[in-house]
Amino acid sequence: MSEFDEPVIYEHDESMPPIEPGTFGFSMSRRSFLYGSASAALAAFLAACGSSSNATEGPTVTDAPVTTANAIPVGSSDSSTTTASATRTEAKTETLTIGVSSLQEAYVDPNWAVGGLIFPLQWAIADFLYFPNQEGKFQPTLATGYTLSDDKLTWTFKLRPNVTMHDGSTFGAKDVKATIERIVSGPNANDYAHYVAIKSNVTGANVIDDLTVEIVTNKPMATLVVDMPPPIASDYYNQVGEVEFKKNPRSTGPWKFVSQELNANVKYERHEEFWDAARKPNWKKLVYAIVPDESARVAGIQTGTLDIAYGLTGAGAEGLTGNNDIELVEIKETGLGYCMMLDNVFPEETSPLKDIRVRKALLMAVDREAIAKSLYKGYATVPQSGTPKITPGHNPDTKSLPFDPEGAKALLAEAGASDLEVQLSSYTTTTVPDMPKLAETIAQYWAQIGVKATLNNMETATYLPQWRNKQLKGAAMIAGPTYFYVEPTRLSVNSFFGSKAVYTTIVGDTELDGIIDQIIVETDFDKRAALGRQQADHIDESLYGLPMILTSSLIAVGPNVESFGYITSCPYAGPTSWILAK
Amino acid sequence: MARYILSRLAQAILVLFVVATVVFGLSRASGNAADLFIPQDATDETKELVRQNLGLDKPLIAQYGDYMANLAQGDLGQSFAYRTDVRGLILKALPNTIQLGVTAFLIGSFFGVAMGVLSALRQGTWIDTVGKALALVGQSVPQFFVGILLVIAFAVNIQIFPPFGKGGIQHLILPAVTLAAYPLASLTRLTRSAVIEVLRKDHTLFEQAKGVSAARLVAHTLRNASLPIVTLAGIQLGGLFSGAVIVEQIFAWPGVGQLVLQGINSRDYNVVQGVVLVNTMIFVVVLFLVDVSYGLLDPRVRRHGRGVATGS
Repeated sequence: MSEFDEPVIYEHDESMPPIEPGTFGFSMSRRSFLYGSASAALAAFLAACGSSSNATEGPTVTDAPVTTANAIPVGSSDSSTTTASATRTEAKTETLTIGVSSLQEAYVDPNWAVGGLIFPLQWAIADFLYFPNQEGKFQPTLATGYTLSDDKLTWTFKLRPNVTMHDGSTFGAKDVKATIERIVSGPNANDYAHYVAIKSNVTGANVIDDLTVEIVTNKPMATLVVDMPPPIASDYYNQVGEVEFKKNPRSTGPWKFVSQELNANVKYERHEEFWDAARKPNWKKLVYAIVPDESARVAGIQTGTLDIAYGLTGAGAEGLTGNNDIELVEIKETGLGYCMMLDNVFPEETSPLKDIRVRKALLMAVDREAIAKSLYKGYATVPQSGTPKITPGHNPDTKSLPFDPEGAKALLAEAGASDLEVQLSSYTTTTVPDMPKLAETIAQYWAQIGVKATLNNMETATYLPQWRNKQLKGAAMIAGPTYFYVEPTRLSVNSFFGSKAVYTTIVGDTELDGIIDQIIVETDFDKRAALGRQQADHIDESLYGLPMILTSSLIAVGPNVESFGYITSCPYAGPTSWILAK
Repeated sequence: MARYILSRLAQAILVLFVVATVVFGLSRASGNAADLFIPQDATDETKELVRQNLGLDKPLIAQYGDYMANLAQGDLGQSFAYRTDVRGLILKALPNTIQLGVTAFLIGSFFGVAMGVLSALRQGTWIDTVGKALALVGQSVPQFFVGILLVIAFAVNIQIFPPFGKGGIQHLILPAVTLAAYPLASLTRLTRSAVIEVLRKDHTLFEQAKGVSAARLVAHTLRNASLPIVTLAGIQLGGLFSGAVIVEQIFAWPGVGQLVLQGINSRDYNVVQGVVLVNTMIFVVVLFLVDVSYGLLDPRVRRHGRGVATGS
């Protein structure tokens, strides 16, 4: 959970009544207060004892550009970007230890560890037919290309030759086929419910020759390339079986699995025969250490116990003050915080939130710039659109609605909703830190235009199922991991407007449904982007979800790291392809 | 004595049964765990298959029946998230929690009792003042604060202990001291007051008048003051196993506390139920041993167990 140590002072329009401290302006948790007090007391004590804690400068914050290769040379004040070299010099550092808040204790099996905080497990051990480059664009990796039949139902992938898998076997079509069968029709296929699109659309895989595999779908599936699971070493899988494979898997990735200690760490050693020299690690061992507490991760990077610490907040970053060996990397636009107008998903009911003027007013009432500066200490920006930059079809010309409380009041009056009362639900998520505080702040801004919001903060494991089962009404906060939206249909279907009916919006917007229907079968990238633009514009015009904040992810990088590269908008640990050790 | 032990044993089994039932009911009341594992765009067919796989498609009473029947055979069920047996998961994590809890208990009880006795024997002196102050601070400062303070001091600044993780003895010191802070403080307070009370008894004054050595006097006094101390120490020991969640979180200690937190976050009913049951069992066993120790420490309890009037 994210904490902020300093009083939060919100900027707001001078014409508006002042915000009272103690309502939300000066929010400080008990824990933050005690932590701050402890730090201050200890600092004073150590200073009195002649401690060496004498530096006053903060860590260098690298404002990493996201439009070019994202590789930050560490230990230098020069924040210009360089690309990790294809010819990599072996590092003196043998092991890099990366601290993460959780790996959700998933198996390290690359077909099992899918999504969110467990992506690092998959990315370490596996490689994909296609994988995003640092700009988030999918590039051929284990595949060298594909062709699609005229009926758009058969995809033929040509595979890369001379790829050695972790078990020593040579990668080929049989491994792709075995992986598909494991997920779609194997005896344990029910365990792989998370591959919804593959299971719903793919009917089989055929080996054409050693390096050619054919994937057959029951309807056109434009996202197949993006959704394809990483191949596993089928010879080894057939030899050891499902249960043993989950615990001790083999695949094609840059790291070979060594061990996993429950709730403690996962260890890997470099796959010396990894096929891609440009992405092969220049150090020998990788450890993912599970350190749930942020202050412990900060201590870990300060003491050298960790080489890289993920998932820091602005407050946590302040704990790094005085250590010039540590680089703070800001990956921008990793989390998109929406305030969804959920009443729109109940077509039979009437609600003021179904009026676009009301939705506009609720967005215009919130000073998002002030929230970005104060609540998120500058590590956030105001979204110009409901569609993030990484999504094909994002419209850079879209202008965000301005902060205009008087205009918002007028719109509410025009809609006859001046005395609007609404429930605002929220939950805690690492994707957008401090979501409950964000909801509280929004409610306070709404109060200033006469909207009474009742806050309903819930525990995450209760909130998300209620969200999915349409048990929430009114307005509700939801965090979108922007990296996930490299595929445009995911934006409108999976996270915000989707429901049980695959590829159909739950808001019953036939126009939006029509656009999605086209995207899902359109395989031409340019045409998909054009359709994505239509979708983006429609989402911005309809405002079913109010885009409130785009948060950054903060990562602390220690002195053993030569350069730190990452995928645009990706907050998750790894892939390590663009990290170089010293 | 045997009747006494049997009676306590029956009570312990009843407690376990009630706890198992309550935990089962509470975990189901918070919603269907399957919802958390099923992608929101999954088809109805997929959702139903996942529910069947997890056994969550059955009526609640049938789920309860299965659960209790399995429990009677020592089977804590399958973890929804890990797809493995809960008993195995707990058995992997429990030794770490026991190691941490026992170390914290030894630190807390040794220093707590020693500080309490010293405070009582030197009542009104600076030693007593220090003892009382430490007890007050130890009881009122939250564990996470103590933990963070120790990390800043001994891991970040002085750098003599690692900030987190499990490894050698050096990894154990900071979490164990953090966990020991509260029991140490409460044992200091209780020991002090119990010893002061015994010191005021006639038989102690008589011993002092007789001129017995200080060491012998302390031994006699402690024996007479031991019942409340042993009771509190037992409760603290049970609490250390079940209450290490925060400390395990701060120090990334891979014990049962972290396991249950993961279970709660992913609504992994069986893991949460299993951990709560194991913790309850530990608590019950510890309190049972405390009860039995009464008989060893106090002859009146033994005589009472045989139906002999104690005369008190």
